[in-house]
Amino acid sequence: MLAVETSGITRQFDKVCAVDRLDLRVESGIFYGFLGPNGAGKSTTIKMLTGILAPTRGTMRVLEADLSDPEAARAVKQRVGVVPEDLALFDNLTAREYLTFVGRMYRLPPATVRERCGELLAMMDLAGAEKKVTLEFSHGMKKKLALAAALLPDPELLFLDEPFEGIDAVASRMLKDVLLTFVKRGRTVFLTSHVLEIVEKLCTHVGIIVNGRLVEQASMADIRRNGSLEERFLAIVGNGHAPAQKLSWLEE
Amino acid sequence: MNRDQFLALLWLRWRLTVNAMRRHGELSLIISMIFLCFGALLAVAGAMCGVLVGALWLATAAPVAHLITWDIVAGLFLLFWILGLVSQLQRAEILDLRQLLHYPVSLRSAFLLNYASSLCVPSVIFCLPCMLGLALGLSLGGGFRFLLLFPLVLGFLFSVSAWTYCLQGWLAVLMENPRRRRNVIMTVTLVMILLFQLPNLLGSVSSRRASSALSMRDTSSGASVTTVLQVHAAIPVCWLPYGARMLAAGNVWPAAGGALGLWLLGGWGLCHAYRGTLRHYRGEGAGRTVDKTPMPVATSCAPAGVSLVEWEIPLVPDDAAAMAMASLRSMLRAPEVRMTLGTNVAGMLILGMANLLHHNTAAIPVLAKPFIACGMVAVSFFGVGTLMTNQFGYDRDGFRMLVLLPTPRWRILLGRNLSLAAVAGVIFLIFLSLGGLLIHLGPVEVLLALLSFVSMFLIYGTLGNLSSVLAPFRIPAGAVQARKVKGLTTLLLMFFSLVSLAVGGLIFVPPLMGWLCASAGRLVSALVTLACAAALTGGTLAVYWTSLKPLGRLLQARERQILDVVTREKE
Repeated sequence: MLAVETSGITRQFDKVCAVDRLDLRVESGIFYGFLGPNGAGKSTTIKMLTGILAPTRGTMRVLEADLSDPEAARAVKQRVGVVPEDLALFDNLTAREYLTFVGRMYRLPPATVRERCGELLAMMDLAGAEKKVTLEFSHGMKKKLALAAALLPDPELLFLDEPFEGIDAVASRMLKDVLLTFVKRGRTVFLTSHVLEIVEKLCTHVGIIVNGRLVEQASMADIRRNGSLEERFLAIVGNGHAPAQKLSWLEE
Repeated sequence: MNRDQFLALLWLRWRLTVNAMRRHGELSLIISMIFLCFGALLAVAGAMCGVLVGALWLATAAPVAHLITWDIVAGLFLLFWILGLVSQLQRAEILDLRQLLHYPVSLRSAFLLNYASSLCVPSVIFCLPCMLGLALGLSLGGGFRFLLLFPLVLGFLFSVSAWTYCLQGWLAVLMENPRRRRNVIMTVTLVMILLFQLPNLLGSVSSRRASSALSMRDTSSGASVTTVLQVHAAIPVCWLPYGARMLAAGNVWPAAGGALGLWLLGGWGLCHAYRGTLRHYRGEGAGRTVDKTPMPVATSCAPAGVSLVEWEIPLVPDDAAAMAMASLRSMLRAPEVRMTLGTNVAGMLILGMANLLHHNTAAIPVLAKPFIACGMVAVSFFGVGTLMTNQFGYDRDGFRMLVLLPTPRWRILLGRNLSLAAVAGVIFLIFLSLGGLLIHLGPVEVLLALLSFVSMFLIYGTLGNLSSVLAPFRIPAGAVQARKVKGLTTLLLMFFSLVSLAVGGLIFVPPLMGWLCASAGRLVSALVTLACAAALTGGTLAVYWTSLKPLGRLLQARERQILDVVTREKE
């Protein structure tokens, strides 16, 4: 079964083509890393796949639901967890209130919501900030809360846009373990990250996007056969050239 | 700071201002330029008028005329200054000192530059030329002694600006915490609004007293002058108009002393502000208390009790109830929402009290009471109506969560409406209780008011849902109004306001029917009124319920556009 399948999706912002005829195929039960340099179109792709942004052209299927059908697109959200690039938090709710709200909106039983909220808050080390509203949270705390909210409904597919950015080493380690367990249970993770080491360590498959176009899609095993992920990435993105620019005053 | 650094910082300020204007579009830039030119012309015209008034009229007038004239000028300046201060508080400082301190620039230079640029505000640009023009005119027409007005005027400006800068610094330290920041902005704005509303209430009270004792009052000009002088007894000695009055009376020493006092006061204020800034940047600020207690360790994560967000609402789907409770919790904490409601309720109470103080409530006819009861219902929706017509504008990034949710959109609308129903209900009950006490509303009027409240809520709910989906606009955190709203959105909002007023007017139909049946007796009239009100409630409920699902589908179709609008401006 395919968790994500896109056919020629394109997103145009005025004259700029952020995503250009993208054909993605992500199998279920894999840890998929979506890589690319800044401004390559990674976040735009995730936004389109999660329904935050409409594609200009092309078709998308998530967990076999056709996203061009509004009702199917809404219904499939019940099975998907998302940590978007710009977080989706309400300023004036505490972490527990926010998680409770999310749990109820996913129609989880109240006892389950309470239990999972407690575990997630403890795991993300947010229990000490019970009385703070999310407006007062640091970026890292907000990120952890968004991750907790994405994990709360136990989704089949997780879309994570730069999940490790701004979170501390302890939470990062814990999150990596959680995500690996998540995938072991047959669930799918679709993750973007700038940190190639994390992607190399966690992901089973990668896709590389440059200037809105998918230039590589392979399993990690295939990539490792010809060197490291970093070498492959630099070979694709930097066209194999080392930076030639030098600073005159540092060379003197 | 050397000359190059000074010029670089001036250039930086200029570029930041120009880029901010450009970001708002070319039309906005053109409008700003027109306003700037118009303002400059106004300032020049004001200065010339000041010269003419000073030289031709005020120079030969009595000292009390000087006092009153300068009172008006200084009062207008202070009014514009305070308005500017409130709007400045609502946006971030363009040039934060911390953005400069890693450059080779001393803190003192950066502080002075920031203070100097704080003087480049419309109130100074427009009022200072007028004041200086008036001083020049008086010097030309009344003699050299009036030249002392120049240091007096500049000292007044220096003193006001230095202490304001000190206050701004103190508030900035307080506002480092984003939650406290919004509360500070809300409190300052609310205090200002109430301060400006207070004369209305005091005026009503005094006019009531005046009307009762009109015949006994001496209304001669002599008495008015005495009143003016009595009022001045409560104003501090360094008040600019005192000096002007004394100069007109031929006594230069009080003016010279006043000028010196104002300059010393300003210097003290600036030193105080600088010391505060220094303390703050060294981490010794009085505004910041360092919490030395260790962060509690998450040993147990069980909640203390059932929170508001967990409450259920009978007969309402669980996700709609969750939406209602989370929105209510969020609204009760959001200072911008509290300010919108608080100013409205306070304003209405002041106006209502002023009117009731004016009129004899015992003389209100029985047949008018149902209309008053419905009027109370209408009034209680003035503030809530603003929230109902833009239900997603306060969500900002939170709206992204709503887009990501699998919840049927009609339930999101229902939840939002229910949360606003709770807020509107509390306001309505306040008005109804006060009305009941002051106007002695009977059970029929109370029942009518309750039914009308439900009808009004359903009307506003239906139209508000449509408006929120079709004409959303972003309310920035800590502000009560949108900074820029598209022309089409403004037109749609005006349209919805007019339609809401027209359709909301239906709640006055039941008392009107009762009034028409008044000849058949009070019982028949009451029954007709209540029957019509019940029919209206039933009708509006049917319309609301029928419209909910189509509006939910419309919300789903437009949610990306709404998301784009409510999250566009980064905080």
